[in-house]
Amino acid sequence: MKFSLRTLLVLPFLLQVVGLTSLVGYLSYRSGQRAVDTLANRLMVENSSRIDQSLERYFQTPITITEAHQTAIRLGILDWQNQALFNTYFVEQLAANPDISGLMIATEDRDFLAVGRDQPNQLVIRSRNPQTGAQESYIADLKGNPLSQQEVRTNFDPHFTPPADPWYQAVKANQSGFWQPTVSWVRGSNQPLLMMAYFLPIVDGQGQFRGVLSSSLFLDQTGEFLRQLQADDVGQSFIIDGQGHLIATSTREQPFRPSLSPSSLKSLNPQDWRFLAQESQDPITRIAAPLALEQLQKLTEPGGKIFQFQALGQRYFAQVMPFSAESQLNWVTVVVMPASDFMVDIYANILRTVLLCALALGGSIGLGIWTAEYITKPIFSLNRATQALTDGRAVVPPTQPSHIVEVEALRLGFDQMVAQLVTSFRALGEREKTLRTFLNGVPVAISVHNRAGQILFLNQKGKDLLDLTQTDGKDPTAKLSTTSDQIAETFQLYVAGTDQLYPTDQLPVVRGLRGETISLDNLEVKTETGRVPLEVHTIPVLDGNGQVMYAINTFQDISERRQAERLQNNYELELVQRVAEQTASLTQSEATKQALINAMPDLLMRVGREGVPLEIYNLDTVAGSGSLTQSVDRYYRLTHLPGPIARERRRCVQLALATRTLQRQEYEFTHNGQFYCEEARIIPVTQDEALVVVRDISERRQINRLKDEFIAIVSHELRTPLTAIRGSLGILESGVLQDRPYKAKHMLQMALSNTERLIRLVNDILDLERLESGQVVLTKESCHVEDLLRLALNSVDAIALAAQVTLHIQPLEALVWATPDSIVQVLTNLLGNAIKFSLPGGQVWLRAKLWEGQTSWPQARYPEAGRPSVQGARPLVPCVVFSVKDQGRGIPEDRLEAIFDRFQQVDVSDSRQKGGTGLGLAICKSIVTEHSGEIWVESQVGEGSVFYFTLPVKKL
Amino acid sequence: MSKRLLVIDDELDIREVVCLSLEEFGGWQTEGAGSGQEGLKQAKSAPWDAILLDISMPDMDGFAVLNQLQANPETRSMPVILLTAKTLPSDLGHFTQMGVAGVIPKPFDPLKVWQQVAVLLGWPH
Repeated sequence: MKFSLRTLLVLPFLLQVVGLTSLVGYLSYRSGQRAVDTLANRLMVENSSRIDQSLERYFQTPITITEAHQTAIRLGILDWQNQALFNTYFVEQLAANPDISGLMIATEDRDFLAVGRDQPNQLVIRSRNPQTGAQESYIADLKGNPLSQQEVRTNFDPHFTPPADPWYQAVKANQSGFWQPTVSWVRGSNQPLLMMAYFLPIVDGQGQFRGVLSSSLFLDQTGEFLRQLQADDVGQSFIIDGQGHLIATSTREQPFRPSLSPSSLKSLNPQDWRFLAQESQDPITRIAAPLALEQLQKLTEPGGKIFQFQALGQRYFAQVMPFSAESQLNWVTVVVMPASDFMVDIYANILRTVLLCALALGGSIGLGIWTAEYITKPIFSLNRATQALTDGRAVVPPTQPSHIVEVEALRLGFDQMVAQLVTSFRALGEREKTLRTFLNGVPVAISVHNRAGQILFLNQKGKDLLDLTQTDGKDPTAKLSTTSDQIAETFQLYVAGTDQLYPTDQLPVVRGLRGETISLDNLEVKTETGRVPLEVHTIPVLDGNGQVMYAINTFQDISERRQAERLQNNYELELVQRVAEQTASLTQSEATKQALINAMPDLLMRVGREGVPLEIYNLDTVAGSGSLTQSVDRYYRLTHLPGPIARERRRCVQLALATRTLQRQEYEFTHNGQFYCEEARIIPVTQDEALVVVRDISERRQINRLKDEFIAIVSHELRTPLTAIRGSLGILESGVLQDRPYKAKHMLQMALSNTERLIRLVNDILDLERLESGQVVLTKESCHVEDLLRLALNSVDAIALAAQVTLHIQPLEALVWATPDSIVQVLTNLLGNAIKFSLPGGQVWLRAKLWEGQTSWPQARYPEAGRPSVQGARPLVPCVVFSVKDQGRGIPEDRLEAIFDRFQQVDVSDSRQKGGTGLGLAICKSIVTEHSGEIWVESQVGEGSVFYFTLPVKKL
Repeated sequence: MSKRLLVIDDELDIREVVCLSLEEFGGWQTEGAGSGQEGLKQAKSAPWDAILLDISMPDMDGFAVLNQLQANPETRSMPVILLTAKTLPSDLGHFTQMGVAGVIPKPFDPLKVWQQVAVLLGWPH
């Protein structure tokens, strides 16, 4: 199903508005009705309550007044026999109580006085003439002054009035007060009035019954009272008794029949005058009264009941309430109000709501149509432009601008797209033109076939090969429309080397149109100049559904290639040979490269961007490698660097890759309890790969540390004598010892001895440095061992004598290849040490022994010292073993090797006490090593030491 | 009252020069000790206003002596000045963390060494 954009925009909008307005209207009506019900109920309750209270008061007044008269008579305040007094008193009482219609007194003596008010400005006074027994009536003003005689009613007996139901007898019988409806003649015998009178007996001070008192209310005046109670002129209220007789009504209707038959007038029975409310002339009263009585019967709780009813086409609210003044009346008050009085505003509100909804609906429809139009108009313009573009029209109609941001953005985007498309179409046209030119220029024939095999395009080369160039006035291009089944015949296509036309179903074009990609070279075309071998390639062109749309055919003359192939066969053997040579060369190159890598003392790794090794070289060949376990351990160590080092490695790799510069990383760590100190050089190789060269620099670090230590020791050793020199000379120079010549001389000697110590130290350092740096060129020559021993002995004779040490020599007839001065220096140093550490009377032996492999190697004299045997150090060539033995203090085992290092005396105080520099043995070792010899010592603490060194024998 | 200083140095010549300088130019009383053990013994024997201590000594070097001086309640409060030929920056950095009053490098000027001591200890000079 399809919708127009206009419908889609307007219809939902319209449905939404209609739905919403209907809902709002309905809810508004419901809400108003509920509000009316609530309001009506409240108003009814208030009205009924007010009427009830007023009636209570209204009917209480006669009771109160009559009871007051009764009390006053019983107490003797009023003389019940004084008619004139009562006359005046009743007039004043009526003036004081405007609600009271009349007052009456009747005595046992049949005296009778009644004062009534039938009009607001006059009174009617009636009394019984005791002489005539007639009742006389006259009209008086409000102060009781007689105005006119009215009528005389003969044979009036108050004790039996009315004859049918005489109230006097009832009072006398009951001896208590009660209400009773009574007919009044206050307006004359032709205009009787129904009234409610409250009767009380007159009892004197002795309790004797003396007559009857009453106060009365004219029921038409009660109706007036009800009308006044109405808060406004809306609805009606009426009072009925338990049987439904109308007592009073606010509708101005007389609650009793105004005229009756003469018999009724004669009997004066009030019941004859009365009628049921459902017989009322007022239709509302007539309908409401029986409903009220019905509701009253359902009443279960004190208070009234509200109900509704329909009358005269409209709804009414009514409330029925029981009324009983002093529990002596069984009446019912009914208040009726039309619902229309409350519904006026609701109906007006509904009307307004409907009008507003209709207005909103109309406005919404208009707005929706306008909006749809506003939105769709530019879109339609886009549609028109699209259609023009699709139709390939040269001019695309302009699109319509819109003030809607999104539509405008769409339009601008569309315009941009159209501009680009137009440009693209033009470029496409240009490209197509260029392509045609290009295709015509290529040296390969190209043809494009449709599904029927007909040629859609054939470039110039193709035309040349297929002999379609126009030469004789015929249009050779007619052949282009040849279908697949005629192609071989039309274009004279043969199977190569035969006269058989190429089978149609095997033609490359036909197979290409079947979806195959074909390459073959067994096809020949017959032209005027002969058969031309062709190489053909065909590919299918598929549409979006995978169906073949075209086949593109490329073919070329391979006559020259065929010729070349024949020649090529001759060269193949040579080619194979050359390839073999190249392969061998490449293999050699690879081997060379591998050898170069293996020759490097470093580990090499290819790492990725994260610094993780991709490949590791030299894992098995680098220095320190050995077993497979070590290689595995090394691999694990390289691929599981400690976290901080690995992170730094990653950072360096990424920096190297980003900057294309070499990065260095030095780090230390412990792996499997072994300390490693390494330097990694990271070289970027590709965008994501770097080469890492890892070198063990532990030794370099060790050398640096030893160098630092050496500098510190040298510094200390130099500063110590310098301090003594500087101090002693400074004190002398200050002159403080001017008066103490011995002390001054001591200071001078101190400076002198420390200067000599300093000179020795400097000489030794320089000697050692020269030796170790190779600056001293040892000119070796054949030397007689004995000569060397003698020279050395002679140089220490003096100090041996001074130290009281005896020297022994064991010469040897042998030649060594050595630098005599250096060897003498070694021997002199060893002898000097032996003498220095010998006690006076001690002996020192200087020996030389030939070792040629057959004789026993010098045995350790002190094997119990536990020193490792020197057997392992035996030279491979014959040598002379020199030894210097003393009886000195000996050397602790842990110092036996260290003493040959710089400044490693057995005791640091030796340099001071024995005059040594701590470098003598280091110099000896350096010289012996330069002569390819070995030097070592064996010693026992407390017994002495033997220093050995070897020199290679010079063969004669 | 004259200050009393103990000079612990295994080099007799240096010990003599230092004592002589401090006595002659500082006017103080001095005593010398030729080894660490001897120095410790003398340090405990009497209250000293300051101890000048060499570092490089046989048997017990200056560091061991200093540790024992600082560990002993009797000698802990005695200010110690190191008198040493170890003058590399790494050595000096190490010395300052050892709780010594100061360091006087060797060689020193015998006429001024007393002033250097006084400055380090906040004595009048």
